Amino acid sequence: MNDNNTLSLSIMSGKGGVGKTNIVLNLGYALHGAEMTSMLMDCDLGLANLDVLLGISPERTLHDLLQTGVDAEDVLVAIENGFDMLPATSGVPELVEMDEDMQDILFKKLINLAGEYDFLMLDLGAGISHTVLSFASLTQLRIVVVTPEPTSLTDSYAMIKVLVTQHGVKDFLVLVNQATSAGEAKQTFERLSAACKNFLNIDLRNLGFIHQDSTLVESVRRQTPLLKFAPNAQASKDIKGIAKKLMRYRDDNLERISGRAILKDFPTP
Amino acid sequence: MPKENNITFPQNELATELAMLQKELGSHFDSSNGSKLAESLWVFRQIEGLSTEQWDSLSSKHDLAQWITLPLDGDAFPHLNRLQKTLERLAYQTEHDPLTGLANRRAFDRILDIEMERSKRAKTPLSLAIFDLDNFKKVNDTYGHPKGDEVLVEFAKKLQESTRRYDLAARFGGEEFSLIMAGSGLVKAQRLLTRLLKEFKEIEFEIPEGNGTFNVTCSVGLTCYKGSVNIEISELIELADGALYEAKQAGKDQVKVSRLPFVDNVPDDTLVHANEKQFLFGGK
Repeated sequence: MNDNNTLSLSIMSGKGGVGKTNIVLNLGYALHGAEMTSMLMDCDLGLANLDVLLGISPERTLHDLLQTGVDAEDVLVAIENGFDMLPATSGVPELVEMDEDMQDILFKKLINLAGEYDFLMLDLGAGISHTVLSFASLTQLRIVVVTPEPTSLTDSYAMIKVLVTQHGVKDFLVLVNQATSAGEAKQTFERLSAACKNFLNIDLRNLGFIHQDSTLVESVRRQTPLLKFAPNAQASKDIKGIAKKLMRYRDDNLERISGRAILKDFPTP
Repeated sequence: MPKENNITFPQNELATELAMLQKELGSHFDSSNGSKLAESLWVFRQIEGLSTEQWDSLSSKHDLAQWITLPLDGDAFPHLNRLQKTLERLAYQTEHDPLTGLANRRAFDRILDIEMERSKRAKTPLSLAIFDLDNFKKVNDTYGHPKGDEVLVEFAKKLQESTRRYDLAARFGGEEFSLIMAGSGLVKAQRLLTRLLKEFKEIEFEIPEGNGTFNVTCSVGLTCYKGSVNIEISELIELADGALYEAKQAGKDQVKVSRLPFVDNVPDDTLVHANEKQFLFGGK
């Protein structure tokens, strides 16, 4: 069912602009550097960003996959060897709220291809739209990206609460981004974690943090991934550390991962 | 409906007899035996000299529309067409108001039930308006009931004209009407209703046997369902009714909106409460 032990991850955040897409892209690079294959899927449907960070403008997008005769291979864009992405569409409001039929078509076409990678990462849009919530509950793991700002904290908490109460999802990994210090990152995680423990009775897992880093802003402007632009920047090192943790998690849980569908409800034939 | 005409069947007592028989037979109808078919009979009786036209007259006078007739001379098949037409008319009558031709309360309840289910499933808005013509009793008392009926018919016409094909306009009875607007939220619905009220009050009704004209205004209560909470049909109607009452209190000739209480609109299990926020900000 999951012969290659593909680990599927949703990268999500309650609030927009916390650095989700940059994290996904650079995690992909870090995994590639460690000779792991991964497929990134830009799931910010309707307002795509992943392609922009790479400085590419793909001709075909996830939108095309909804048409008959178009397969996942036709839409896939190779970033590096063994590191591919599926670009989303910008400016199609109909895609923001994807109904069940559309999701079904999309994932049935993708699932076999996804099974050929070590990692499948879904870069979800911000917020708590129906699409975001249902995608998040499909993957094996969820990474909630949060910054020390109170607005980010509240929005992430609200998103977790909806997933817990409405979708029965209980396991979340928290990644603190744009932290000025280890202490600030710790405090951010602990606040969110304590609230979740106290009110929702769930334990969050700490995936670590990424330092605030001005080189990241520069890399975005140059449409070059940070790990390529400044591999030795503090944020780059942090991201590599996070990637290592994910690889370790995958290694430690191979048996569990292979026994589960890559995406819930979409078993590979 | 067949027009009442002056043909009277020679044996007028037959009508009385049929009516009595109908009453008597009605008491034999046993609906308790639902699982297996209850014993039943077709009862035929040949009435010589009765023509189709005469039966129509009898049937409309004495409410015998459910009786089946078959001519014994000539071809029976054209008569089956009559039978079909009668069935269609009866079916129409069960769901329509005879005066205005709008749906009646029964059809309204059925459609509202379907639309609320659809709204729940698809999370699409559903607006419900209840209308009451202002000071209608005075119209009846001053200008007579035929004039009152004319006002009702005109209002029904305006209502039909201003709505879309998939809206349902119904007459609740008396001077009360309703409108189900599937897929419309409050803003769209309010716009439609305001225009409808304005156009209706511009209609000039002629004063019978007198000079001049008069106008009639209307009050509306509006509410909107978004499918997010479980409420009964009756609760939605009560909300619209409450708004209608407010419109009357506020001086009539206007639309008032009554929203589902905010707390009911929000699923409490996912709502982030103040204490949770305080906790996140480091307070206790």
